[in-house]
Amino acid sequence: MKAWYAMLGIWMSAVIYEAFALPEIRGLVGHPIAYFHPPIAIVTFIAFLVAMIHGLRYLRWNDPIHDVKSSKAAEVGLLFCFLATVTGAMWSKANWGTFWSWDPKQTSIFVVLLIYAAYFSLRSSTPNPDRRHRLCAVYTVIGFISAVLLMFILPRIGFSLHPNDAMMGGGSDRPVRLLFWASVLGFSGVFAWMMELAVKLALMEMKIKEMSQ
Amino acid sequence: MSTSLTVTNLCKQFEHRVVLRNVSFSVANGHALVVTGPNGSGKTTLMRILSGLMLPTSGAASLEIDGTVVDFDERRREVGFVTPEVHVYPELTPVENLKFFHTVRGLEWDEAEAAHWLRRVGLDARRDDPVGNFSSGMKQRVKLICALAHHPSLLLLDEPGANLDERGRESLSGMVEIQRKRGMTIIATNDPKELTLGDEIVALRA
Amino acid sequence: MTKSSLSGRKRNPSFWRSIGAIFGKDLASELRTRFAVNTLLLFSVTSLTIVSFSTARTPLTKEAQSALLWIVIFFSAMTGLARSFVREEESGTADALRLTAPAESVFLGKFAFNCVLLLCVEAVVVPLSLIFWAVSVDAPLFFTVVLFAGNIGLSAVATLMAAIVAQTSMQAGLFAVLSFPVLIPLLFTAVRATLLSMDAVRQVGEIAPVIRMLFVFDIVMLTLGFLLFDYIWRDRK
Repeated sequence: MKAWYAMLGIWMSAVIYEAFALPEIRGLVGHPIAYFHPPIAIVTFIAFLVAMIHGLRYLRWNDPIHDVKSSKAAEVGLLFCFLATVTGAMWSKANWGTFWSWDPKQTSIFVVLLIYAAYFSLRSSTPNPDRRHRLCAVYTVIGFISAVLLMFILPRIGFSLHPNDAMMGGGSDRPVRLLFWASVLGFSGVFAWMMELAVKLALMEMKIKEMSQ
Repeated sequence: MSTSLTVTNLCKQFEHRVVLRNVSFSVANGHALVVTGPNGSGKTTLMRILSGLMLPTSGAASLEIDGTVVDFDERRREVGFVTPEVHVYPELTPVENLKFFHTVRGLEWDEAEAAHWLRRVGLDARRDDPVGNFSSGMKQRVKLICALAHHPSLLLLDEPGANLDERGRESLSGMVEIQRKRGMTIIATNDPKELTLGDEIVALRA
Repeated sequence: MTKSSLSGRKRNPSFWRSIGAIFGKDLASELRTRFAVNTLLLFSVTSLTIVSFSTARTPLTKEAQSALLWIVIFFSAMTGLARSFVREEESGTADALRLTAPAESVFLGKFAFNCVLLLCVEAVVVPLSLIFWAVSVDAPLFFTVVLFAGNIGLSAVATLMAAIVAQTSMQAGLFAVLSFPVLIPLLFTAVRATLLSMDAVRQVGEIAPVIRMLFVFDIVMLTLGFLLFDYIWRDRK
């Protein structure tokens, strides 16, 4: 396990170094953040997908361990979501001149932030544990589906400033694309690592509570 | 038709508080069982698990009819449950309540039968009054007939005598007698007068 | 006991009747207490008056009108639509319903009831706002379809969330917090569609895709509700 963490550290350092070293991307300003913001946004969605999968597993198996995993994925996801919103605003300022422009993607990430913030107020206001696990698991499903709906609907009724395929698709140079996906992979690794730590911690807390009873 | 209820190693835990530990018993067709125990011994929790409202942490309570286990969706027709925490609709009249629970259970509605039940518990004079205006003893009677009118295989009575007067208690024991012919009864109570309603007693410890 | 009256074992296969029974029961208790409908109507008329009064001197743009209309409808929904579930939990009848009714018919029955409540709100709010704001609706048919589609989506999400918050300790406050972000796709689309239907010389080609989005949202949420409601409603394996 230690070797994995070391590799993750080296990988992320390399990504960060390259992000500052690579030349500008065509048509985009403020480029180093281009290698952080979109990957963070993508990992946000991965995190909430993981939360939903564990939520569904809870509903299927009724095992509290899935609730722990689901809620911790949502917790780390919320942190990534917050980072995505902030880095998005910074990039927006550099690129379009304003921090906020209600661009569909900006709106989406903000609403996703609201959805998962609501998830935690639901958690804290349901004292009965069986109920809390069950309702929260269902909400991760509703939350994820409505986030997907949002991404699907908003661009179709509004307008977009977002450089959709600037980096992922064929419009960019090979090193740019490579670094972009390396960054996505790196941030996914960071997410997995943080989630694992959070789950471990929660399980330890549960054990301590059990022993002190 | 033969029905049976088998409870094996039933445990219930809320977070780390253990409420029920390894409860096992079984009831056969035509029998009535009384569950007693001090406050906090888990009588109500046990009844909620038997009704299907609550899941046990481990162990099982399986209701069988002619050798096949009844699942939750079937239970709504096979179980009748009276408990101080579950109420009938206060805005509706006794007849409307009966009709409502009958319809959502997916059963045919019969006006004459409703009148019969209301007469039985002495409520036919108040049949068009909303239950919210009733005294607590009369509400208890409405709850009783709502749990009985669909002829359940398993009748669960949690402190059924609460709020009932002498006449109400008489009709209660009459109902338990009728239920003996149809299926099983489980009564959770600490009232010495109700202990005699059952043929067996299970005592829960706190 | 007379044997002839024992019709109890005969089973009715269709669950439409149980949906009807739940809808009818909610309607009957609502007609007797008039609690939800009074709150809803008073709230919607009050908020509409505040908006109209404070903007009386400045003519509203069509964008503002359609947004305000949906804001009033949304918040009215948030004041009243949780009521039917919260009441079940408070008066201890929710468990009786859990024991006797199939979860899907509870969802659909309550959904139908919430739809009707919201229709009452719209029947008052929409004509009033058209008068207060002197709105001209150029495509009344589309306008009605938008209201209808919005009503379905709002009621579906509200019914789901009401069933959730009724089981928590801070019901009313949580209801809007949970529902709002989930309803945003619907609200944005509905505002846009309302704007299009108010505006003159719009092509069908421009309005139709937006209305289609509304129905996509409705169908997704109703399906989600139908599949997930049992898990919201009770402990199950």
